[in-house]
Amino acid sequence: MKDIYELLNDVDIDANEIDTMEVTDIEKLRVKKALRKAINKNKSWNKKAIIAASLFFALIGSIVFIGVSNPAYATNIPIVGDIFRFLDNGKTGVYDKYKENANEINITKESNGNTVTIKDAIFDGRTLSYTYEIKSNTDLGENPTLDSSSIKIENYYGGLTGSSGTQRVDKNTYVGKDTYTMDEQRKKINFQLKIKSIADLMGGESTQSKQIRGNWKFRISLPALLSTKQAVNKGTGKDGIKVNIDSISKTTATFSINFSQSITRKVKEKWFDVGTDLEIKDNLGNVYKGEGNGGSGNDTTLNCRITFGKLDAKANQLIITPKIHMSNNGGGVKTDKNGKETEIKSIIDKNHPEKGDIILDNIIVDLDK
Amino acid sequence: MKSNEENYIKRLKNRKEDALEFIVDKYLVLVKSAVYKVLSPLKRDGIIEECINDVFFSVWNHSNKFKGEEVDFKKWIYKIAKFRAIDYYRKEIKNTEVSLQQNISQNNLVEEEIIITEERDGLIVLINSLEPIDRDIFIMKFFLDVKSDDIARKLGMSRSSIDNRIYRGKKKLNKKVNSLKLEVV
Repeated sequence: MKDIYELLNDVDIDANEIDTMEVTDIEKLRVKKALRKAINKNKSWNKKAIIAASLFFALIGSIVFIGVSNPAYATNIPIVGDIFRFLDNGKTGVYDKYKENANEINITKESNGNTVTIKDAIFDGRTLSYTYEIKSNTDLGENPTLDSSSIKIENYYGGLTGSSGTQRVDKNTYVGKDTYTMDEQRKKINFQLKIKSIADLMGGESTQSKQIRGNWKFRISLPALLSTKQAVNKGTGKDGIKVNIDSISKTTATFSINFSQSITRKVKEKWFDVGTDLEIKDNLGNVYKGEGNGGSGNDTTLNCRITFGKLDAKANQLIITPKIHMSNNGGGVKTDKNGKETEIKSIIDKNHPEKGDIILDNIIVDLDK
Repeated sequence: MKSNEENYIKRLKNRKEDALEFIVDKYLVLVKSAVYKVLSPLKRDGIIEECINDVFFSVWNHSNKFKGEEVDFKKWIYKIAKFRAIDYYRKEIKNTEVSLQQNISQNNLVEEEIIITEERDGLIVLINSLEPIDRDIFIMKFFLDVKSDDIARKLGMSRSSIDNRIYRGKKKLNKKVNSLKLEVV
């Protein structure tokens, strides 16, 4: 479906209908200032919320959400029809086909006067996403999250990477989406959510928002979307960094690229963080934007997965450009198998520049038909 | 790198803030004019400025949906400005019902038939289900407030066939979702 901004592309108007009006430099400055404020307000909503259910690996990858673009729009839709798309907000398009492929759940649980409704859920074989709506008279801030230890997947003991994003849509209503990726392929999934608390974890102490406690319990079973997997095994590399495309899986809603990134010890020594983004185009000129599902591995090799929107059925070739971002910013905690945590920190000096980028040669994949 | 005439659309799509500033410098004259024409009869301070900011913010947030060359981009911004301004206008006259009659008669830009809908998104879903030609007519008529005569001229059709298509389209829309609040003022 096209939204109004896309529809407006198609409607032709006379160029001579367009008039202009005098504008002063001060007016320009005022508009710019207002825009800067609006954009930065949105940025502060972009906070990452990473959920670690049972982490055996250092967690890589995260998802950010952009806030509501237009406050007037938000107040006018107390109930959001397609939360997947709403939260993506036109940013990647990964979720465009989710709603129509998702299983409608619509189960509401109430506890202490606050309700949580699981709206839709979808499972592509490895990644589970579900959307929800929270209604509460307590002010929960702009981005409350369900407590992270609430998910349990039946008969699964491996690692989980994931992300969570929630957005206030009116005074008492919040919509959100949680995404988890497992490290094995399944035909169906049974999972349980036992939510004990909801709070805006990112707001910090300064916010007025409160935590609410209760007991909201859901048991959900989902079949996996039909998926096909094409082995690829093609790689490219430069300056001690290699990226290998292992396989592509397709479903009716998305396609995902499974790939590995390996770096030499020397590169590891120089950079604290090395990450790969994939820029994807097809032979018809479509550009796909993706969302990382996280990765797992060791110091030098990482197995990662990025999910994109629906692949154009007419495309028969994908052009994949790996973009490597290196940086010496940040820090984290590494957890080993026994749950022992070691803090890791980055340094910046003459041998450790702040950041760098490398674009690797394209990998061209002929798609199976 | 900075935005210039050649790269600003691309940079905007890549969410570079300087591209947005470039667009404000270049297109504020046009956006202001479009918004001013629709909203000035309301004689309400601040609303024009608010709407102008909103237009650029929408351009920023939806830049990835734009398709075409620079000449199309100019038109696209203009269409967004007009549609946002009409949106503001409708919300305003809804909020101040007392002066509704007066406003309508004063503002001859807004034709007699306007759909006021709180569920604009619902309307868009329905518009998507129309045939392309009807879709264009509906967008022009209800989002851009183009007069039927002008639509007719633009599409090389007669005024009565445009009216006919609008009538049929509305019937179809009404039938599809009765709950959608399509009020005709």
